[in-house]
Amino acid sequence: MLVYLSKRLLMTFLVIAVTSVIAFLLVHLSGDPAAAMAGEGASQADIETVRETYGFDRPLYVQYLDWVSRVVTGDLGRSTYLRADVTDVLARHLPVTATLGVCALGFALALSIPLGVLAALRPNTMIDRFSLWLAVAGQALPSFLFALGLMYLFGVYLRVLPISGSETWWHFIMPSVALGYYATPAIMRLTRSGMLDVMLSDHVRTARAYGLSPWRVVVRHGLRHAIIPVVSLAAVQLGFMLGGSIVIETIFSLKGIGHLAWESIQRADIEVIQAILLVIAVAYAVLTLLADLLNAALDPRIRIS
Amino acid sequence: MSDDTRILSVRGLNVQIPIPGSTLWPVRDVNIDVGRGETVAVVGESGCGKSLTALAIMGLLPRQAKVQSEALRLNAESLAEASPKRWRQLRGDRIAMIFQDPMTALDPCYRIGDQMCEILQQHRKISRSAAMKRSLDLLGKVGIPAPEERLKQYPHQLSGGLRQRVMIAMALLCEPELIIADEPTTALDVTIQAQILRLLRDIQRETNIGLLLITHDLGVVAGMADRIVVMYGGEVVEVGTCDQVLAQPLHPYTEGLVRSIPVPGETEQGEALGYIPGIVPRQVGERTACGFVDRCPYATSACREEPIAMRDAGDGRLMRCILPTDGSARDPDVWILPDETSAQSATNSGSL
Repeated sequence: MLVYLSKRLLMTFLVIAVTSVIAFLLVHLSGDPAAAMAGEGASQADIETVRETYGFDRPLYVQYLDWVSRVVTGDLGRSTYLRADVTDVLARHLPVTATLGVCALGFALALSIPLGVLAALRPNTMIDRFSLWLAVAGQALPSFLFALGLMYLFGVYLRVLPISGSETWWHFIMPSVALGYYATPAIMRLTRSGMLDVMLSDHVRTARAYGLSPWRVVVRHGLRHAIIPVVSLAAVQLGFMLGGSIVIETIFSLKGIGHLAWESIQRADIEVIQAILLVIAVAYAVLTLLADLLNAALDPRIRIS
Repeated sequence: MSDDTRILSVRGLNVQIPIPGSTLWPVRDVNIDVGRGETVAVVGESGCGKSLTALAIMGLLPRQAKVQSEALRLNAESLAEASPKRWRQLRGDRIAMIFQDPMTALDPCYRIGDQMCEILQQHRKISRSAAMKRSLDLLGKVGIPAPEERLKQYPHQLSGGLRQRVMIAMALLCEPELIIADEPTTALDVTIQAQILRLLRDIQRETNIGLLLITHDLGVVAGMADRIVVMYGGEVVEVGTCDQVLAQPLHPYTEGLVRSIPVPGETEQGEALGYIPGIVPRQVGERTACGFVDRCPYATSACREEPIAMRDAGDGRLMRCILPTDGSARDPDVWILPDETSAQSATNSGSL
């Protein structure tokens, strides 16, 4: 277990290190940061002043190390446009996106795992066809269209849910459903195929041959195995959602990371863009690590060699 | 065998499985009895329907398989009419099953002790510590060294032979009346095979459990079984005591099986062993002839006219063949077919 854990931790660290380099370089590759910061119509002399003030004239690796050494102390720099510490800006936007992502994944799991299990237990029946139909619809329907449909139905027609903002939990229901529905098909199909396999496996036959109740057979001896790839998939999808769904956040006027990223890119707010890239990369790496640890907890063959 | 010592009684068991465009009929009209303290071996090659017969007795066949029987009784209770709930109460409690591949038959996600306790607590109102105690006792009884440690281990930490011993201990948890062992030693090393068979035999004698031993290996049967049921193509083709069937097989298929085993001290080095040409044909539709006719060296035109009925061969033996029962029509060398081309053509006709 210790070997496994240290291997996974090392991998996570390497992923974060590499993505931080990429995050850092992307900003420099997308144009002259000094020119962007100085603004349109700035003279060459102004640009040079900015370049020296912010240290853009130093070698790249020095700038990188300087940036990293500040980042690890929690200092993500200052946004020139917002005139605020990037750490504070992120602290305002991150909770909105995190709430949305977790709620959306929760909705997706709550819908897709039971449906996937039922579809696998009764293949080629009504429930299987219904879940397939739901999956195809989820995959095919653009999320903005689905979100607008929800808004019209629950916000405008029935008037039961708020259509924009992030003040209360009620505000998160529709965005979570809209975002989560998009993640549903993949999780459901993976659950279904995993369950179809595992229910034909020898150890499930043993469980049935020893008279265990159907619930125990399906959940303890079936789903526990089928869920392992689903955990990895869900971690990736949560990472994607934490990256911020620009579309969903914009439609529902949620001031989250996606929204912030989109605005910052438009105004070339380099420090913020870098910080967001880094946060997303770290989120992905940590979620993958958590998924690996969860899988190790589910399957002893992973943790005990 | 009198009715009161009979644990399992199967009469006219049929299994049919619909496939696109047709219906497979892998088990037809099978009769099997197992008495208390008796070991009955069901013998046949792969695809003869012996495993499906076992699964049908356990009520474990998939939904799409149609199972019909004139009678399927455990003690006096008819299982044919049993509800799914009653089936679950009986499985693991009154009937237990040991599977072929111990590497995959245990759930890799749970400790040995947890899996054993789960079964015991499903069938008995018993505390977890008492269930652990009984599991521990049984692991010791089936000859597992350091059973306390094994209880806490996961299946993948045990060897195949140990896992099969765990399966046997599992089968004994609720003191069943009948154990069905489906090829219990096929997946094991030869040296381990003998140990596991000896263990099964000792436990069976000690506990007076009925044992239905399913195997393709006549070598396993000798010294284990009281009676032998030979299956071919989904049908029972011969029934007799172990000694009768092995020493003097009546049905040509059984004869072919017996001729294909080398006998220590009798079979000389370099001597050709017999074999049965061809493979088991797919079982579809009603029988119109003897099921073995395409592979039988004694086949005559009479064998193709109608399906062959089971008949009494004296001494309590049954056979599904029209040959005389005294062995007068037999030729021991008929199974030695060195000519590859004749074997090849037989294979083709057998698969059609």
